[in-house]
Amino acid sequence: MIIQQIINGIILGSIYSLVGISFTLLIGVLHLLNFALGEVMMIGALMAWVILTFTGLNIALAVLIVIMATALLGVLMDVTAFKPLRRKKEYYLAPMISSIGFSLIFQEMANKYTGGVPVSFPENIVQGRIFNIGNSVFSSINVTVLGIALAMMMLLHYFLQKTKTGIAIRATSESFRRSRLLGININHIILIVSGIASMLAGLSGVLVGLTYGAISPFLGTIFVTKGFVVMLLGGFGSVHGAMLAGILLGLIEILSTSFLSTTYKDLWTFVLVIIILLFRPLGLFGTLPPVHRED
Amino acid sequence: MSPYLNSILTLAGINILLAYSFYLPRGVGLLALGQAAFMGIGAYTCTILTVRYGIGFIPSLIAGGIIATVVGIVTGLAALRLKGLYLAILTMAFGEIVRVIVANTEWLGGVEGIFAIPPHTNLAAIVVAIGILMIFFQRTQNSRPGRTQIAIRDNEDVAEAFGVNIFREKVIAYGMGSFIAGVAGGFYAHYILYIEPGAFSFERMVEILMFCVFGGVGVYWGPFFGALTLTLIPEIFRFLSDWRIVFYGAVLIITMVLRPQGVIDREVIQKVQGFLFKVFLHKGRIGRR
Repeated sequence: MIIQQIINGIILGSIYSLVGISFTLLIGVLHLLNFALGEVMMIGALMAWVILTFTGLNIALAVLIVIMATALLGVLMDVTAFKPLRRKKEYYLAPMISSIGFSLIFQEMANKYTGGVPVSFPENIVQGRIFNIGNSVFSSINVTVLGIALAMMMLLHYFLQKTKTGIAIRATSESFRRSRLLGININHIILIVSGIASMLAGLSGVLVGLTYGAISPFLGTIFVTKGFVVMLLGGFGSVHGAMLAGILLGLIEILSTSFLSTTYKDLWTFVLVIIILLFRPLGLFGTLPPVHRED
Repeated sequence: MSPYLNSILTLAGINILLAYSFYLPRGVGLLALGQAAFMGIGAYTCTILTVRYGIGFIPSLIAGGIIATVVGIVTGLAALRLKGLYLAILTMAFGEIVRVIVANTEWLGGVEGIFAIPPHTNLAAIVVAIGILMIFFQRTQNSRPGRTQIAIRDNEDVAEAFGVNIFREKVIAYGMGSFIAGVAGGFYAHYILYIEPGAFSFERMVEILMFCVFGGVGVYWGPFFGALTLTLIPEIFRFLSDWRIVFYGAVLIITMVLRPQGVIDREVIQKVQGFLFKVFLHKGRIGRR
C-alpha cells in the first residue's frame, strides 16, 4: 500500500517537476512570470486528445506533434507580447498581465471547443496493460508517463549542462549584459527558452491527460499554482531544484491525502509554501534572488 | 437611473474599492496578492453579523473591515519582511489557505456558502466610500505621509537613510489595504446576495490585479479608471457576447504592449488637468490659438 502511494506520488511529482521547470526557466532567464503556461498545458493535453481520438496515431507521435506545436506557441507569445516590453524594465508587472490576457483567450477558446465539460481520452489508450508488483497495481500508462517525464528531465539536464546553447542559456540567466558582451545572441536564447518552457508545459499537459484519462478546459488554473509552488520550493531559476521539488510535492500531496485528512488536501501545499518563504526564502536550492538583479 | 445601469455601476464601484485595496500596499512597493482573501474575510464577517445576529449593515460592514485589518496586520507582521515576488507568492498562498479553511468549516457554510443575504448594498453608499478614499488620496498626495510612501516605493534604502520607518509604513499600508478589501467584501456579499469560498479565490485576485495594472498604479485615478473600464467593457460589447472573454484578453495584451505603465499615468493626469483648466478658466481660447 505504502509503496503504491510512493510510486503514485513520484508519477504525479514528475509531472509537477516538468511544470515547475517551465516556470523556473522563464523566471530564471527572462524574469517573466507567465500565467499562460497553465493554459499551454491544457492546450497540449487537448491537442493530444484530438490526435489520439480522431487520427489514431500512437502516443509517441502525438507527444512529438504536441511538443512542436506548443514550442511554436511559446515563441509566438514571446514575439507578440513579451518582446515589446523587454526594453522597458521598470514595468515588470506588465508582461504578467499580458500573460493573464493570453490565459483568458486560450481558456475561453478551449472552453468553446469542448463545450465547457471535461473530455475523456479513448479507453483503450489510457487503460493500458495492468500488472502487479507485490500488492501494488500499475498500468503501462503510468510507466510510460514516468518514463517520458524522467527522460525529458535527463535530456534537459544534458542540454543545459553540456551543450553550447545550454551553457549560453545559463550565462544569460546570470546577466543579459555580460552575456551579450561575450558574444551570445540574446534574442536567440530568449526564443529558445520561451520555446522550451512552453514545450515542457505542453508535454506535462499530455502526461496529465494520460494519467487522469480526462482533461477539463480549466486544468491550467490548478497547475499554475502547483508550478509556482514547485518553482518556489526549488528556488527561483534552479532547474535541478525544480526537478526535486516537483517530486517532493507529488509525494507530499499523495502521502498527506492518504495519511492525513483529505478535506485539507490543498492546505498542506500552501502551508509548506509559507514555511519555506518565512524560513528559507531562497528555496531548497536557490542562489539568486529573482528581482533587483543586475541588468 | 435604470435598474440595469444602477446594478452595473454598483459592481463597478465594488471593483474600484477592490482595486484600491491593491493600490494602497502597492504605493509602498508591496505586491500583495492576498486581497481576495481579505475581501472574503470581510464578506463573511459582515454577512454573519447581518444574517445571523441581525446587526445593522453599516456597523457590520465596518466590523468586516476591522476583522480583515486585524488579520492583515497580524499576517503582515510576519510576511512583510519579504519583498517582490516572494511577498506576492506568500500572500497568494495565504489567500488560498483562507479559502480552503473556509470551504471546510461547517459554521461558515462550507463549500456551499451562505445563501439568502438581504440586499443592503446601494450605489450611494459605495459612491460615498469611494469619495472618502479619493479625498484621502488627494489630501495625502502632497503631504508628509504621501511623500513618505512615494520615497519608499522609489527607493527603500534611501528612504530608510532619511529616517523613515519602512516596516511601520508597510504594515500601515497593508492594513489599510486589508480594511478596504474587507469593506468591499461586505458590499459584494450584500450585492450578489450569496457568498461561497470560490468567489474569493485566486481568480478574483487576478481580476483585481488586472484593474490596477490596466489603469496604472502610479496615480490614484489609475485603479479607478481600470476597474470602471474593465467592468463596463464586457457590458458594452454584449453584441460580441460569444467572444467577449477573448476580446477582453486581447484588450489586455494590446494595452500592455502600447502602454505598459497603464492607461493613466502622471502625464495623462497633467494633460487632463491642463485641459480642464483651459476650459473652465479661459473659455473660448481653445482652437483659436
